[in-house]
Amino acid sequence: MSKSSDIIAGAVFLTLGVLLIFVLIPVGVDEPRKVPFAAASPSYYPKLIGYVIGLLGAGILVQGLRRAPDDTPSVGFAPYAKVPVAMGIMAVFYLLLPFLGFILGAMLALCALMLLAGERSPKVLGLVSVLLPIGLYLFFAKVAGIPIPSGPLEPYLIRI
Amino acid sequence: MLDTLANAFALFASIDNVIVLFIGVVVGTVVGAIPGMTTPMAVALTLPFTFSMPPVTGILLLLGVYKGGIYGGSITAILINAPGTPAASCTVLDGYPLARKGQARRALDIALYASCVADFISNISLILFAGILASFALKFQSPEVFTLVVFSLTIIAGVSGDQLLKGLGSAGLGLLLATVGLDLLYGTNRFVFGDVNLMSGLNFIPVLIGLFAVPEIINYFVKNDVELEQSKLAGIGATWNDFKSCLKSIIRGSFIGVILGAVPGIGGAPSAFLSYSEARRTSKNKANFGKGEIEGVAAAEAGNNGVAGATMIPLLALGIPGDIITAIILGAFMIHGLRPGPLMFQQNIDLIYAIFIGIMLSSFYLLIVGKASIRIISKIADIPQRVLFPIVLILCVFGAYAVNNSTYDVGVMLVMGLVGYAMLKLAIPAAPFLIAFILGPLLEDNFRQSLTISRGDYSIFFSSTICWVFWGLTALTVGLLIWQRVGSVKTEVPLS
Repeated sequence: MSKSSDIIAGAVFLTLGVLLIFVLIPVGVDEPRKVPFAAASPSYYPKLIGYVIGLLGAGILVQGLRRAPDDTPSVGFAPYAKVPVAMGIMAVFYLLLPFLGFILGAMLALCALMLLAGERSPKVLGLVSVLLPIGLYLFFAKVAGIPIPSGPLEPYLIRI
Repeated sequence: MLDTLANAFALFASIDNVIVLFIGVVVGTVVGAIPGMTTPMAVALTLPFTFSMPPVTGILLLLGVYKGGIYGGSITAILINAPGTPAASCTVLDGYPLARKGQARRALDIALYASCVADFISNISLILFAGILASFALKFQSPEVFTLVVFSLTIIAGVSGDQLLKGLGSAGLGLLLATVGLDLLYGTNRFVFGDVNLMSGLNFIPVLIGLFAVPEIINYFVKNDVELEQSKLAGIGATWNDFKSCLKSIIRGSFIGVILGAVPGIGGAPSAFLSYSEARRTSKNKANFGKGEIEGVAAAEAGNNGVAGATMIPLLALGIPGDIITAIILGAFMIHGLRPGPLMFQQNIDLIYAIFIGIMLSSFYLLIVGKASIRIISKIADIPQRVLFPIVLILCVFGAYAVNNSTYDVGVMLVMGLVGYAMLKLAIPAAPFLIAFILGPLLEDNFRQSLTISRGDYSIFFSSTICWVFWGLTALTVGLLIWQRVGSVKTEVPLS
């Protein structure tokens, strides 16, 4: 429990609550022309949640402001350096899925993630990143019958 | 009676039935252990294989897959924080913290024992109380289900620990996300924003994997210079004392599962959460729940497996399928020219008894298959984490995709992963989000259906004894929580 996490969380909940009531629900929920009673409306229940989230956000914010200042020193951003890289690898993998397919994409992503995590053995890197995606493909596509898009490998895999 | 039993035994006693049931349990356990492969999916995929089989054999195969799948879901819940089935989502709360402490084998063992005991109790209940429970279950209309879900939601206060306000906010987010998609009453869009992928709502599995498994992996990249605790699995399975200390919660959870399982449309997840909540409420180690309490794993598994036999009660006695799986099994009955219901009890009672015999055998199989699978699958925890975490992330991608064959779900999983990580950093508990996301649709649908029936009159929620019982239980639980919090504040004051 820290002052800063309470203040940020409270502000996020409060903003979300306000956004829900004034923007997201009016824009994002289609209302039928006529409803027999208020609770039948598709926006009634989300609005109720919006008010609750907003009130809770205000409560958390007040709780955070009243809390004693954090006594643990901030660790800075250095330990988080690998997070955007890991998420970047996954984002590129996701965006390239339609072109590379699951097998090639997973091979590259897996190899990159293991390198990032500190695995240096070429044997482990090669074997795991090649065999696991192929194994997963064979299981999902050939045993469970789930069509797995495989991009440029599609014509070769169809024969298996 | 004896003639019927003899006929039933003759119907069951074939080597095909014994083998097929075993294969079903193995397939179900393996599939249940893969995130993204749900038990209904496994049962549906098995259905075509039953077409050429005799009715009893085919139905036993499906039942084997069903039972194995429900247990299998707990394996990845404990090992990699990604439950294979929605019903196993409660198991992650204590199962994964135990695995992180190097007690994965102990958690897997107790999950198996709880599953087998609950499954056995559920099967016995099915045999003994099919008729009685079915008539009670029929009394559950929308207002009763609504009050039951409200009562189940009181567990949010329990799993929020010392972050009650944040826990409630997290539950609010879960309820909100569950509203995305088409409105059930009017079919209008809610939070779809022109994206057709959102029209059917957010699927449970990608949201769950994103919220629970992905943040753990991101967290590993933050502190991977400090090697996390390594699981040493050899020789530290659950002891007899572990089992004995959990037995009360296992039996209570089994009966919660039996009662809720007999109510069509409830399913395993609410039962697991309710059983967990009750175990926490009555436990001496209350503070340890959510941090790696073995009783928490036992209660969750007992709750969700207790449902397995009981969901067959309304199906066999009344012909009403309680969930997707029993609906598929109903389909299997109909393919073979049988119609479950009161008439079947008169015309095909030997067939029902033969299924009962097979169901009892499935509990025994579950123990054997579960024991074997723990030895093989728990080796996962011995893989170095710099290799395991990237593998798990790729497995999550395949799992998220496989639920609906949709790459969109992979995106949902990754986005929810970031949301989950932000929640972790802001000390917002994720468990209330999960509970609310699962129970949300049940809560809203029954709330609005009840009000539609009563034309907006709220007194419908107080119209039956069952409603009053659940309101009473809710008030009692909330009252106890307030009393406990006031008590803990009072004891903290002199210390400070």
